[in-house]
Amino acid sequence: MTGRHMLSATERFRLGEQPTPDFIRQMRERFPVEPEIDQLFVRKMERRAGPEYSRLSLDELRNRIEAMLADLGITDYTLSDLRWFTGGVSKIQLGFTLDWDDSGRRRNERMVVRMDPNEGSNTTSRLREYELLKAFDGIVPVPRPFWLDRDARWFPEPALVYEFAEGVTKPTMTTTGQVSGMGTNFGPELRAKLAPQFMDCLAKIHTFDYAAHDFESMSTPSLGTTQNAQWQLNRALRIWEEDRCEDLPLMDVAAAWLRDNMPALDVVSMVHGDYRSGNFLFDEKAGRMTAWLDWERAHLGDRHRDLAWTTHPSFGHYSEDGSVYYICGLIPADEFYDRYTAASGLSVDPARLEYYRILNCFQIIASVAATATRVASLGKSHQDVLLTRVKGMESITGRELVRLLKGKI
Amino acid sequence: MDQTDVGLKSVVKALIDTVAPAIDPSDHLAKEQLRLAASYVDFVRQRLLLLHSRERYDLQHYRALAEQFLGFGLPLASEAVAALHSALAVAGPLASDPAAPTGRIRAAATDLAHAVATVVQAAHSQWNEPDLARRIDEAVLAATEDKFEMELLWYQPIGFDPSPRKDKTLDDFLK
Repeated sequence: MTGRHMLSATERFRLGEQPTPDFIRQMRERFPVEPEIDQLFVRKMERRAGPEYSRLSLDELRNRIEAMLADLGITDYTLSDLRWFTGGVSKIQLGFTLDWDDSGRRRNERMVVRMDPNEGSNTTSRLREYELLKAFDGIVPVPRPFWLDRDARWFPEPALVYEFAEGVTKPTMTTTGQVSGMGTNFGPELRAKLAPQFMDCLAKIHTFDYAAHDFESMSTPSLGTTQNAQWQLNRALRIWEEDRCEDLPLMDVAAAWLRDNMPALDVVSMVHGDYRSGNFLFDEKAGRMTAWLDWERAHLGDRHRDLAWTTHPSFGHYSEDGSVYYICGLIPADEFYDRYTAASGLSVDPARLEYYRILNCFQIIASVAATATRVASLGKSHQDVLLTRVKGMESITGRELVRLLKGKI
Repeated sequence: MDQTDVGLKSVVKALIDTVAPAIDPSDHLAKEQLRLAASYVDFVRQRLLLLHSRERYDLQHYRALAEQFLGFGLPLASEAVAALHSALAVAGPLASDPAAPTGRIRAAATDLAHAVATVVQAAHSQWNEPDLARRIDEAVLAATEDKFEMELLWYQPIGFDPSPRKDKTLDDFLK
C-alpha cells in the first residue's frame, strides 16, 4: 500500500521501475535517513527510468582520466597500464599507472578508479568513502585516496581515485585439510598472524575519535535514543520498498519486529559496515594486513551492527577436525567477544547483537532479492549477470532470518 | 518435441570452447563475466523442465498461507482482506486447472503474494489485535521455512549452500 489506495502488484512494482515524483516523496517521508543517504536514494530513483549501462572502452576511460588530470593542473605525466579489475560487485574498478610531476616531485603510482555503474547493487556515497580513507590513513591500513569526483564531473558517474594496495584477500597456496563453511581458510600460520591485527583494527575503528573530524557525509545519531537504529532500519526498509519486484511476507514480519524492538544507542562508534575476511588485503609472506577496503557502508552508529555482521556464519568456518568455529576464518568463536572487549574497552550486549543480526539479514535479503533483481532487470550495472545469481542467497539468509525470529514473535 | 535444453547445452559449449580462448587475457572482467554467463545458462538448462512446476509451487504456497489467514478470522471490513479474497478467487481455479499457462500462474502467485503481504502489514499497523498478528506471523514463518527449503535445492547448482540437504530432492517439493 502507498497510503492512498491499495495498488495491485503490477501497479505497485511499476512504481519501482518508473518512479513518480509522488512515490519518491512518499519514500522520503516514510523512511527518513541521513541527509547524504537520502540524496543518493532520491538520485537513484530519479534516474531509474534512464538508460541501461553500456560498457565504456578503456580509451574512453583514458580520456576521462586525462580530462581529470587537466582540470587538476597536472600536465606532465604518463598514463599507462589501464586494465579492468574483477571483484567489485557494486562498483566498477579500473586500474592504471600514473607517472607524474606533483609540484616538482616526480611520482610513479598505481591507482584505482572506483566508480558507480548507472545503478549499483548498493546505493552508497563516494564522498563518504573518500572522507573515511583520509581519516583512517595511518590509523588502520587503508589505500590513500587521491581524488574525488563526487558529482560525475570527470567520470560518467561519481568516482573515487585511490592508491592501488598490494596484497591478496585469501591465501594463494592451497591449505591442507577440509573445512566446512563458506569463509576463507587462512590456515594455522596465517591465522595466528592475522587474527590479532583483525581485532586491533576493529577496535581502532570502533574507538575512532570521530568528533575530531568534520565529516560532511555523515550525521551523528543521538546517544540514548533509537535514532541510529531508526536510520539504519529505514535505510533497509527504503531499499526494500523502492527496489523489490515481488513480495516476501517474511520481510513484513521482520519489519514489524524490527520497528517494535529498536535498541537505544549506548556509544557512538564508527561502524565499518562490511568488516569481514575478503575485505582486507594482506601480504602473504609477512602475514601483515596491507589495506582495509570497502568502506561504502560505513556510518556513525552502533558497534553491534559490525559485530553482528563480522560474526555472520557465512564468513567463517570450522577447523579441520570440526572442534573450533573460526569467526571470519580467524578468531575462535568462544574467544571473539572477550578479545574484542579487551582490545576496544567496549562491552558487547547480546540483545543489541541479536537486533542487528536480524537487521543484517533483512538488509541482505533486500539487497540480493530486491535491488539485485531490479538493477539486473533494467540492465543498469556492469555486473548484471552476477546480480542475477545472488538471488540464490535469499533462501540461505532467509532461513537464518526465520530461525532468528522464531520464539521472538 | 522441444529441444531447448540441447540448445542451451550448445550455448555453454560455444562460450567455453570457442569464445573464452578469444578473450583478451588482460580483460579480467570479461573473463569473469563469461564464466558466470556460461554457468547461469547451464543452471537454466538444469531447471528448464521444472519451471512450470516451480510457478505452481509458489501459487500453492501463497494459497495455503492465504487460506490459513482466513481461518484466523480476519476483520471483515478490511480492504486488505477484500483484496486477499479477490486474489484467492483468481488463484483457486488456476491451481486446479492442469492446462493453466505458466504466465497466468506466475501472475496470480505474484498478486496473491502481494495480498498476503498486505494482510501482514495491516495486522501490524491497522487492526490492533496482537494475538491475531502473532498467529499471522507464526504462520508466515512456518510456511516460509518450507519455501526456502525448496529454494535452497532450486539454487543448488549455483553453489551458495555450503551444506545442501541430502534427504529431500526438488521433486519432493514440486510434485
